[in-house]
Amino acid sequence: MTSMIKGSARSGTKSKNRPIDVRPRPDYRSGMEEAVLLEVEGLSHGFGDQRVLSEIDLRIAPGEIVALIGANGAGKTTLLRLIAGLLRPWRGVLRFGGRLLEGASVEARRAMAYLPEGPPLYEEMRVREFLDFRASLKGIPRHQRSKRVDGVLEQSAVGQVQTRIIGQLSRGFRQRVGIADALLGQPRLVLLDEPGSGLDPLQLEAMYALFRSLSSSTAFLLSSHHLRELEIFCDRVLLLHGGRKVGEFAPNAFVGDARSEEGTSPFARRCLDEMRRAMVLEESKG
Amino acid sequence: MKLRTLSAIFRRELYVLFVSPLAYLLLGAWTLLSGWSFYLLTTYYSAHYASASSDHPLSAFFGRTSLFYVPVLIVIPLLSMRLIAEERQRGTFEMLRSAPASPSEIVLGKYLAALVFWMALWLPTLAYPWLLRTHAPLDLGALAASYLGVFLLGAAYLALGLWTSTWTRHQLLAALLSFALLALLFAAGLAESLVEGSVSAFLSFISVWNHMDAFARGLVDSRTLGFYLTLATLALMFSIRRLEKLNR
Repeated sequence: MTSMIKGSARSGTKSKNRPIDVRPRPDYRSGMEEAVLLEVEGLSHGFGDQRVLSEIDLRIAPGEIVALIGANGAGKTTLLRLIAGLLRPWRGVLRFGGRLLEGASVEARRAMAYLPEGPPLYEEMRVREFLDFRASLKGIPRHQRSKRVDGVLEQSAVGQVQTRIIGQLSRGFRQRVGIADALLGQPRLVLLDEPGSGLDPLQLEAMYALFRSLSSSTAFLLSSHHLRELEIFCDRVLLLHGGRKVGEFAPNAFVGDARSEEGTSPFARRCLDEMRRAMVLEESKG
Repeated sequence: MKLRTLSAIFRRELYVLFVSPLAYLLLGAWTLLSGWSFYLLTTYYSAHYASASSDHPLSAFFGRTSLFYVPVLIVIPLLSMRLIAEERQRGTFEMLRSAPASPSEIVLGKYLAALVFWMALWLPTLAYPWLLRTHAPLDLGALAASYLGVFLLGAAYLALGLWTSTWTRHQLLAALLSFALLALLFAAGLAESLVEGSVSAFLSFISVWNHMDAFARGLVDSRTLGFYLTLATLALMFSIRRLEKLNR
């Protein structure tokens, strides 16, 4: 993971005393269309007659790192799959770069990458072969492919296993191969479903550091349960519960707040409190 | 539809077909079976030379015995079962879709690779005319028409097999469905003698036995070409439509 760690200017300087990113954040609420990369309005979806996502609104600015948190079944994966175009919404509008995503061109779709949870990979292929195949699928010209593959192999720290068969790799390496794949096409928005799954704490930190280092050109929308890393690396967190957005806050809004007696950070405490509140509210309604 | 994406899917599929143990098992079994079939036919024809003088073992080899059809009905479902079902079972179908690759690129890329593999299965049989050249006159036109028939049969049946592979995530079930569909089509053709009138004419028109018999004698009927190409096109269109609807 050396290169993943090297990839971040922040990871080398952060300390326990300064856990919150104080860099200027993109102003996604400015109302200027060019400041919004992804715009989701009133998005609803379900399976059969069961609604799993209700009236979700979301805006992501270029270069933002936004996390979706919530209990299992909250609708995080469904939201990511809807944005990735793998599901057709029941209702609502999705705009990417100011244009409607429904019926968008292949080029528009290529500006977005999606990495499902526990990324499904072709187990019989070697890492480099797989990335080369994915690069050709993503329309990367032949003369640029090798260089681009080299780049993501280094960024994702999988260079040392590039000749190994994917089926023989550990879960952590497979996850990083998936991340390398997501970054191949130099997308403007990367959608990641539980990208930290299978990674050890060092790999996890390095992964978020990599995302942060790339965030000048790429925005990230990810689902995760790793509150500590989200607090350090994310610009904004959306809390989903029962398919609804029940909270939205920036981790740096809690700068200066004291830790709880148990040592939980103010951000993590807020996340957990909001999740509990949503559950209680749901139970009282139910 | 992007040719580059289609080509990437085609090359990967071909790679998988030629490196998978199932492919080599199929190739080995197919070569043995066709060799055995050829041996039986040449033995028969040499023993019954007087009565079968107007015929040629090669025309019998290409579709005039069940030794041709039974392996075809088994091999094609085995070849087509994994094309889509495996991608869905592994979850890699979503990765393909989000690449993004369109359903038509996925279907056509995979189909063309399977078709190339199907024709590769027949490569060893090119030795048979060469082996027979000193013993019986060779009709190159009939031979070319026979291989055209094999190609068209594979094109239509593989397309149907691919379509059944879009119905389920389970490869074995896809193979069984494909076998049932192809066997029904084959049996319908055989049933032409059981009925009369327009139904019989229709069943005769779709009879793969009649088609291959004509091809083996060097007869290429444009209606037969149209039948197989239409069948393949429809099955591919249904497959594309099915993939478009998946996960929606």
